[in-house]
Amino acid sequence: MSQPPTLVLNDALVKTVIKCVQTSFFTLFGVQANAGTPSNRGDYASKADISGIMGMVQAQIEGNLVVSFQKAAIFTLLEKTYGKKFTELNESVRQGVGELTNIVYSRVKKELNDKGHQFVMSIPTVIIGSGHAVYSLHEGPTLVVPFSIEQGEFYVEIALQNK
Amino acid sequence: MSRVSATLCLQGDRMTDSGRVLVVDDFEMVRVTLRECLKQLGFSSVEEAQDGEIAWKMILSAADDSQPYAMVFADLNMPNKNGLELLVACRQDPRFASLPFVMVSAESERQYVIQCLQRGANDYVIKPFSTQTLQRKIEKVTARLRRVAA
Repeated sequence: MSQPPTLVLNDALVKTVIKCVQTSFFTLFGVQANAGTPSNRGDYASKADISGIMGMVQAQIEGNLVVSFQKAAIFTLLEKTYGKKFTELNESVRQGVGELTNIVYSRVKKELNDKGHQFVMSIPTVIIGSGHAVYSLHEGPTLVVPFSIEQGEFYVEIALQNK
Repeated sequence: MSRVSATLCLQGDRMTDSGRVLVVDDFEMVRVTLRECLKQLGFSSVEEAQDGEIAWKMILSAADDSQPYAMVFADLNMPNKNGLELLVACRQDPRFASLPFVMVSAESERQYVIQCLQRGANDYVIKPFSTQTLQRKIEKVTARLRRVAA
């Protein structure tokens, strides 16, 4: 099996992430997620109320993809699916964030694997806590792409390092 | 023509059915989305299961009660019995060998789609999906079943 190409946190990856997120959110919720200015930082930890995390693993690279939501953002999105108001981070919200993270990761994985990468499936983990921070204990920068919807914001972060 | 394929038909731009449809996914959000899409398409009896093991019991029970499911939509990746294992269990049982079975997954890579179709899935829907996509897939499956039955 040939070695996968090197993956760097560059503009091409930013474009891939934005495309995958916007397509997913529009199809799922009919919502336009507007991408803000991406950053590539060494000590970044976004603050959120609920986050979904997927491990990104292939032969030479390991890392995480994190989708972090403020309460207002995830409540607004899930209300579109469930047709009811959400006021707390309950099981439905936890499951929703897990599945959303899974869908975003699957789309990003497909785009990258079409370019020769060999990322595999993984299982989402969901973290809850008002204003929590997700710290990725890896070597290297974290790519952060902020998104805004009508009510609230969410962030997609990718942290990668070579094995 | 089998009872299963006879129960699904198009009436105008809406699907109509006299049977039950089973939606299998470990994530509630996906089950709700599928259920609402199917209702919009005219399916009145949509039941849900959280994993393949529960779904398999429901499929067996429905058949025993002489009210078999008309169609199954199952997630590929689930705990206990995953979508592929559920599909194989169905295809190995003569009662469900032709049960319309649509795999639903966020996995959009070719290898997963091919694997499911080779094991007997009638079609494969990639998450996220729109109601229109779901309708196209259902029409495709039912049209194919009608051709086979003719």
